[in-house]
Amino acid sequence: MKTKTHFWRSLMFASWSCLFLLGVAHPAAALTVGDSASGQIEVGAKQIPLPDGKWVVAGIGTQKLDMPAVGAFGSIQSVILLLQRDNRIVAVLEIAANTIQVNDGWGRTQACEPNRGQLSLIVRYRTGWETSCQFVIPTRFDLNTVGQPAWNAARAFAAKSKLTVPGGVWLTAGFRVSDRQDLIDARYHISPALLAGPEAAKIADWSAEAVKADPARQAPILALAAWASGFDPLIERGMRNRLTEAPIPLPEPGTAVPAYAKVKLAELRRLRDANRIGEAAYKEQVAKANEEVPTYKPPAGLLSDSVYKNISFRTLGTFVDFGIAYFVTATGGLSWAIALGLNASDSVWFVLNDQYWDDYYTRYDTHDSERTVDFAYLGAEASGI
Amino acid sequence: MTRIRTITQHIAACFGALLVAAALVLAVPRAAQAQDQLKPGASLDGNLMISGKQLALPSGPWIVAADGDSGWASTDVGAFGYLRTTILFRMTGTAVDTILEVNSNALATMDGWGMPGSCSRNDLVWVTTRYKAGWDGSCYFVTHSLLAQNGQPVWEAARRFARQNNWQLPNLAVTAGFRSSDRTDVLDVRYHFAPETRGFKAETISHWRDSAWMANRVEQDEHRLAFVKSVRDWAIGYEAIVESGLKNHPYKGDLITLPEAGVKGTLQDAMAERLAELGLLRQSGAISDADYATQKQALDSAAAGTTSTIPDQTAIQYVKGFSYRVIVSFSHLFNNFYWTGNFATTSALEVLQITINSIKFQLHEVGWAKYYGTPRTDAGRIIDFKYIGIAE
Repeated sequence: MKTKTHFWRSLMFASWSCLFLLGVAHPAAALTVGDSASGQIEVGAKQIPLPDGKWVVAGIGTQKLDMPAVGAFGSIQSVILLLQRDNRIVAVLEIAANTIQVNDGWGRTQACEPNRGQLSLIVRYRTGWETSCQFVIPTRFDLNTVGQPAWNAARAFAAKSKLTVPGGVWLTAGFRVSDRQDLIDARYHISPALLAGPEAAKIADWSAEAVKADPARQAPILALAAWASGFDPLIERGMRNRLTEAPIPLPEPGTAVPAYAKVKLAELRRLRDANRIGEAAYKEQVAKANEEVPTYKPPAGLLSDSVYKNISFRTLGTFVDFGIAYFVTATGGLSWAIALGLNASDSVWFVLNDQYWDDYYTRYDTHDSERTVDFAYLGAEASGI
Repeated sequence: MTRIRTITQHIAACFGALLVAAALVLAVPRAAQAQDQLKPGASLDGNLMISGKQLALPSGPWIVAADGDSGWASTDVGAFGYLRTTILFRMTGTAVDTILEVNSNALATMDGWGMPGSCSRNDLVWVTTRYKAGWDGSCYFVTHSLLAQNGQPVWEAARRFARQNNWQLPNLAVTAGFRSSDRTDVLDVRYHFAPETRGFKAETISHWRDSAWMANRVEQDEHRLAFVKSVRDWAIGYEAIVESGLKNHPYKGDLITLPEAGVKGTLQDAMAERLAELGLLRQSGAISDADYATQKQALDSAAAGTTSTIPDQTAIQYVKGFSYRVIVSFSHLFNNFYWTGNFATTSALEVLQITINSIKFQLHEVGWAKYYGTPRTDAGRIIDFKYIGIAE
């Protein structure tokens, strides 16, 4: 009887203990400075993936965004996390995200505009209400760099914890993902020493020109760009609160570069192994998943697109015009004159008409397409972005 | 010896209790986790977790009737795994009071989904399209559905499950349908309310248009109208839950009740929810009073959000074709007359050029859009799944 009573008491105690432990481990728990985090953290009800390692929350704050056009976004929450090895910071993660969903999209970031000195830039999509891009830039900061409230809190935390934050240039893999409701701006600042050894930390010039001219500088940039490309699906999944994957290691020498389609292919295998999809559907969708890997396509100007379209239209159209003219006049020479005359004048009208309507519909009701929404970034003044 | 036995028993009890407790506690989130297939007969309350999305359920309990591959297949949307249909029943005695039908993609895609055909119709009791752009969309509607045998495999499994339990399914239901989609995911949710468990006479009709729930007939029947209005008002609040569930956000609001004629629902709309969140941020000091006032004003002016829509590609092609034809027809007059010097020949050429070249232009636009891509690949795309109800 006594054992029975004890059993139920123990059961209650153990249940509470388990609930407590689960509560502590839950990523949705409110962040506080000094918390350790691994795998992911939640900022503004969105999951942010953390590369492999034990990160520490060093600074939390909000940023002022004076942009009534965005609507009611609550606040922009900023969080700074540090990854340390042997009391030395090797990576700094800078996150900004909205706290309340909006209705009409966010906007662009200058970091994703072409020709801004990025060492790598991939714009995955850029539509009326959405943006997804990733970039690699050099960023210069140290513990003396004054910045937004979260960074200032992080500086105080690092000083108090006697952490060494290397000064100079950091190599930053940045991600901006936004849709109609939400926005994530995450910048992973990584020490060049981690990417390419201690000698890389001594390099001061990481400009596009310097990197282009020096294979020793190119290698870590290529590694970081490849890593960012494979890491990007995790940012996208985090935006939709769907992160379940194991953490991906930082792009250190000797670590495997994550493949873009890896997560999707693993999910397809899981569905096939669980008999949720058949072998034929599996093979078909594996082919599709591999096609989904983004490739950088610089946006073509409307004029050149219209010109190509006109050439395509005229190739067949001139013969049709000749046919009509010959049907009416029954004279070859005259028919060619009419057809070529139409060809010349219609080409101008075609391009102008096509360009006008494409431009009209591109702007039509796409409220955020021309809006730039940037926050205060760490070391922003150094990289010029 | 007895003492040692007691200590051993205590340790065993503690260990056993810990194991049981751990199993119990860990079982809760596991049950709520997205599973590839829910077991028929399982009872659910709270949130339905579905392939990385979630849906807050109205007060239940809800019983899983069937869950599986809907059989819908399309190569246009990329690698989506399979289209999962989940059917839940809510019971009143042995009668199925409400059927919940959820259609959702198993894997995230890259290039958007589209809108259901129902949201483009004008013969339903109620249709609201909140937004419909290149790659995302949100709409909801109220209508009635015939829930006959229709070959949808998951629905057939649900019907078998009902038969095995001697549960009565309605032949016709009042339906509140929701579609929320973005670039990667889609949630298509339909609540089918059995009229007979709500005091309405069951209908034995074989054509959708013969029902007393048709929009034009409901207007003449105050009882039906009252119920339809309560479903509509409920749908306005529930739509925000569907949209939020698409991004796997847990519902944190009050208990959701089902619509009932003449009873005010407890569901807040999206605007009220955001206003409450804004108030919390002000209370916590994250935003100032001035920021609160500015953002509240933004909320008030934006009301329930944008209703922005993008015209579909066909409409754009016709606009382009028409304006091009008007311009070049004048230019052709001069060109034709310059070369022929004859009004009759010029007129004949003009008529043929307008007729033939208009067709040529449209065919070229369609071909160009298909083979060289368009700025908005899913604009205006209708994507319908295999639904359990017939509403046409």
